[in-house]
Amino acid sequence: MKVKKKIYKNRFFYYLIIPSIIYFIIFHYIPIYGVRLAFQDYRLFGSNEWAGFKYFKQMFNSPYFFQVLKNTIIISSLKLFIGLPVPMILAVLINEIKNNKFKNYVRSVIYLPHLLSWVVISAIFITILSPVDGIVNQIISFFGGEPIPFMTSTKHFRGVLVISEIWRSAGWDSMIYSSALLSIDPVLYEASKVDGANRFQRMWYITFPELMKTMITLFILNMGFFLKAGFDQVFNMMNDAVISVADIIDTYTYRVGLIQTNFSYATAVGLFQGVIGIFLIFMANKLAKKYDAAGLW
Amino acid sequence: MKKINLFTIINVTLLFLFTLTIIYPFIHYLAVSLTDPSYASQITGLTVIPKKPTLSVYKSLLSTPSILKAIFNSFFITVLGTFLNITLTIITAYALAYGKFPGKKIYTVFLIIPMLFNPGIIPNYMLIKNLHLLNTYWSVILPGSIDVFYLMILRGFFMAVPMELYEAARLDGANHLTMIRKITIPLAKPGIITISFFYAIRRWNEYFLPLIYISDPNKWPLQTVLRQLLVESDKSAILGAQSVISYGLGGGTLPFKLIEAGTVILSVLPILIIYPFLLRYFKEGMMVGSVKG
Repeated sequence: MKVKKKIYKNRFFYYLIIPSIIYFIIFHYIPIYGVRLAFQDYRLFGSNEWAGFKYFKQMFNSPYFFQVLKNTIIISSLKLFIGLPVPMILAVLINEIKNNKFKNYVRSVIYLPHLLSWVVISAIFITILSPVDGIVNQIISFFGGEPIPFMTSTKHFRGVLVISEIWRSAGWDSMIYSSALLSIDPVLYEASKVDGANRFQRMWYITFPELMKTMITLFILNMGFFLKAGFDQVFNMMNDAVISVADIIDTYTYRVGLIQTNFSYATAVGLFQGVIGIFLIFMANKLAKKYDAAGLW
Repeated sequence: MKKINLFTIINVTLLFLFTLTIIYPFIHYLAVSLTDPSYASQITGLTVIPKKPTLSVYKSLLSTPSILKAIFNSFFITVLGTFLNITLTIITAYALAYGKFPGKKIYTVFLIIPMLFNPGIIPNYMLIKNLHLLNTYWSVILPGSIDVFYLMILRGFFMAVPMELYEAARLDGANHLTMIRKITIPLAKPGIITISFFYAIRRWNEYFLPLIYISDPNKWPLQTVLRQLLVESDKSAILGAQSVISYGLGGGTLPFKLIEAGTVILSVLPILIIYPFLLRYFKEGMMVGSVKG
């Protein structure tokens, strides 16, 4: 009875959450239930037939799937390890600027790329990296080098992915370090000044160790999305010349599923990715908690 | 002293170069799009000043039906989609911030599970297909109606509103709807505006859902059209059979480089316009919101 009364008293809150419940059931829970297609043969008419693990066997027997998995892991690792320290360094460099006008200028420019779509960013990189008249190759030529076809060279394409990812998100991600910088106790700096530490020693012994905490937390959290190597980026930048080094799980499921309409197989690949994803997120979460509690630093 | 100055010089140079890599592409595209079409062959990657500036590219683009339609579609999807986002996020955040109803814990778990498991592209496609939403604007507008991350940020803003105001309003006999309108929305305005910007930018930038759910190019937003133009170099699908846009009275052909530059500028213009406002709200906004519960 008591619960009933409580529910009645709170009825307005239930009205408020009903639309979101309907939305989540239709647009999130039904697709989750829809992954059973991975165990079925898709029929255009009538109901699908159960196929057991047929599509998973097909996946694990496909050498191309392992190529795609390998690409995903390589691209993700490159972005994770090369891209991780950049926002931190950027935040420290901005923090070291004494001129407020320049500081504000830098701060009001660097967030912009994060707000652009990958379609636009891809257009920008194709333009500036063009081997014919892109500015980068014109600079290379000016110094006597040979033009490099960055976007169509298997040797350079992953580098383009890493650089464009950094270009897009370093500024935005530096924000979190900037607020971490504000939380460093100024007493530490004062004390080190008294002890005769110079600017670099203060950066090295106080600022960086403090920011490392934030970086490690971010590293662990990013681990949870390891198999997401950046669909929108690769999808918009990739071309036939570099597909062997650029094709990742997400672009693969898109192509196999929606272009070749191999629905069941693509669902199986997606499910594999989703399950590993859950596992990684839980592991990352556990690690983050453990690290916080143990206080490594 | 000398060493410190050297560091400052290197630091300022590095940061300036970084900002230059961000600003340069826009200046370049703008200059290219303003160049007189007859000088197109003189454009290089270093072009930052248009030769014989003219608006003829924009005049041609804005009189091309497919581009006009795409601009309309972009605004339609952005306005309707953002309105849906904001309405749903406000009412849900209100319930999460102030409600102490039975089942709240289960409801929270219900919201979080979809963040952990992504069923992938095909089950989503099948859903839209089975709902008979393929080839409608709704296929793009309805998915992504609530973002749980933004929801939690807004909940943080709502929880920062002093409870005494609600107590006082309740004593005056105000109901929840009045309190949402008169207290929550005005006091959490910076938060609401910040997430509205984020939702709107996401809506404006959406190119993928229209690409897979809508087969009629007349219903595509500008970003999808731009992608087909650049990545697929699929000019004929967008620009009609001739795959060219003529300009001026003589009906000369507009070089692709100029079409590209003009379309890029058109598709980033709304973002560039709201960016300064976003920066302002954002500084106060994110800081408060990130102290979430």
